[in-house]
Amino acid sequence: MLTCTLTAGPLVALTNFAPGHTATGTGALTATTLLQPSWTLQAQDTGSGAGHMVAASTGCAGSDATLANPLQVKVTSGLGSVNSPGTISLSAANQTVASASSQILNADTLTTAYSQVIPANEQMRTGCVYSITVTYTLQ
Amino acid sequence: MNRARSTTWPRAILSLLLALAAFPPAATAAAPPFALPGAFGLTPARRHVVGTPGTALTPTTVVNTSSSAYRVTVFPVVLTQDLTGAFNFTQTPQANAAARRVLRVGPDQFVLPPGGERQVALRWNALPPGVSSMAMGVVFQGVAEHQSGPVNVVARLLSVNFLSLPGAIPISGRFTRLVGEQFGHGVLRFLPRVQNTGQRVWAPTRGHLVIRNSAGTTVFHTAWTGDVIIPGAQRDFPIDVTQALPAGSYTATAQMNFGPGSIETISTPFTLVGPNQLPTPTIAVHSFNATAQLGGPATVTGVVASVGTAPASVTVRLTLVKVDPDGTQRSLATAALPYLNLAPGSSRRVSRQMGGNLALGSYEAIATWTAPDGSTHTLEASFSALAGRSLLSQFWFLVTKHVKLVVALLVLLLVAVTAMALLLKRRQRDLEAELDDVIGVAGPHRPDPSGPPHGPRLPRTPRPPRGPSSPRPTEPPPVPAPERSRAADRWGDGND
Repeated sequence: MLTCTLTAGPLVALTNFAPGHTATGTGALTATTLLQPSWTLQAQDTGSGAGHMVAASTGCAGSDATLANPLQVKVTSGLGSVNSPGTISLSAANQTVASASSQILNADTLTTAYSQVIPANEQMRTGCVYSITVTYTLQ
Repeated sequence: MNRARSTTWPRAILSLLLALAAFPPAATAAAPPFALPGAFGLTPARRHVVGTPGTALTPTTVVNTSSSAYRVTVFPVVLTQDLTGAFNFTQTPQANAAARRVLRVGPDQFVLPPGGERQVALRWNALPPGVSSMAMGVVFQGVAEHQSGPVNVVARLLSVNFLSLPGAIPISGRFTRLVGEQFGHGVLRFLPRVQNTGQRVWAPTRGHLVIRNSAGTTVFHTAWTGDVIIPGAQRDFPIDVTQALPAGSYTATAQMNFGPGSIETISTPFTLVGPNQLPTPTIAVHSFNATAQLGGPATVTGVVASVGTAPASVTVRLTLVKVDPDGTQRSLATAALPYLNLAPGSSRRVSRQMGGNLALGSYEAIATWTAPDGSTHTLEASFSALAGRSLLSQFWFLVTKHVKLVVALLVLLLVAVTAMALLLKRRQRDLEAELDDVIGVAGPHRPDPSGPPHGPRLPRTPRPPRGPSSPRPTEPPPVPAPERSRAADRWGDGND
């Protein structure tokens, strides 16, 4: 039976989230592609920021509506046959973040690393919350 | 009602799907499809369906074995395929409408509680006119509820469905290219590109890659595995060669079967400049600089060098920007400088005037180029427009710039002047000696007390010779002169 699963791990937190710093965080995906050794995992932002973190609608007066730089995403695996193109800049377009031509996944963990470069001149008021939704597609 | 018949590739999957099609959907739902804890998943993930529109496909079972509820959205998409084999789709309103005309899904939105399971029905409605085969996807989007972090995750599972009409559908494919590239140190990667030129989803089989040396001897041989290609699409099948091949000339040949009785072959020659080392074009740009004077254009200079082992081509794009005090940049001028087939080891000097009538302020010249390996590079040179130099400042600039040369010239000049002075002095002595000789030949003389002490000595009129018979001229006897000083004897005392 062809079976495909994709599940996100615990919530991802970004540390060092302040102007002049690079915020980073790590997450995990658990994936299964039974009977399907050839698969592709892609990432995109289907929201309004097109890859950029967006300020909340309230409590962000005086802050930049979206961050200047896109969120960087890198997916890695301990499995030898999994190809990773490296770090991508998230955008509205689907981009491959991991793939394999001969590697069945059976509830295997893929590590997701996020980094957000925040320039020193980024306008971010205290209390303003920025967020983004990363859409992963497994095929 | 039309009866759907599933045919799949490869054969193992074909058999499996045929078995799936033989079971009613209830059977699929009855058996728990997942034994995986904490998962949002579906089954089946792929279908090969041969039938006619109006067919109900085997439903998709969606399960949630995680501890969070999932909001699930389901929608059909028309699939395309890229060179890596990955399927893509667009979500414009037109594309969504086109997908819904082919495939209907229901329900398209629901909440799946923890431990929940739901079946989604799929109905094949139609095919576009003239199309006998189509790749359709169904996206199952699951959003775990109560996500509130800075980075939230949406999981999408793409179910792939190959829909074909029954009957003889042309199957054909061909190689469109075969290239070798350096894939890391000591690894060659060959990429046979295959295009599905038929009308049915198909995959190449019995793929082989053979490498022969210049004598025709096979030095490497391997098999490669094909995968599905949708009609009209092209796909690369990477083959890595780690076996060390020495420097020399070779020919790589890829072969495959695409459809019954179809054997396709493609060859390409290649040269290694070292063990598993392909000639690699590499470009470097250095000595990048820019200057400008007030009211004039900027002069951008640099050197473009071919530093690889194969001829390299590159287009260097120059941009001149004005940097305002608040940091904003305004583009003033751009230029594209193409350099074609630069031989390894060669270089070209860049010198380009950009913009004009530059005002006082800060500027940047930016050079960007895409290297032969596809990487993008940028160099920046910051500069200010300066006032023009006066002649004196230009002279002083030259002096300070060439201090050693100026010192050497001064030393040479000093030596030359000294030598000239010595020569003149010696000549003067010689002349004086000659003059003295001339005077000595003409007779003794007394220095003329009235003459200048160091003036030229003129020959005096010789006195007539005194004969014995000649009376001495009458002249008063000399009066003894009083004792006078020597100086007064020469110059007089001034009281005469």
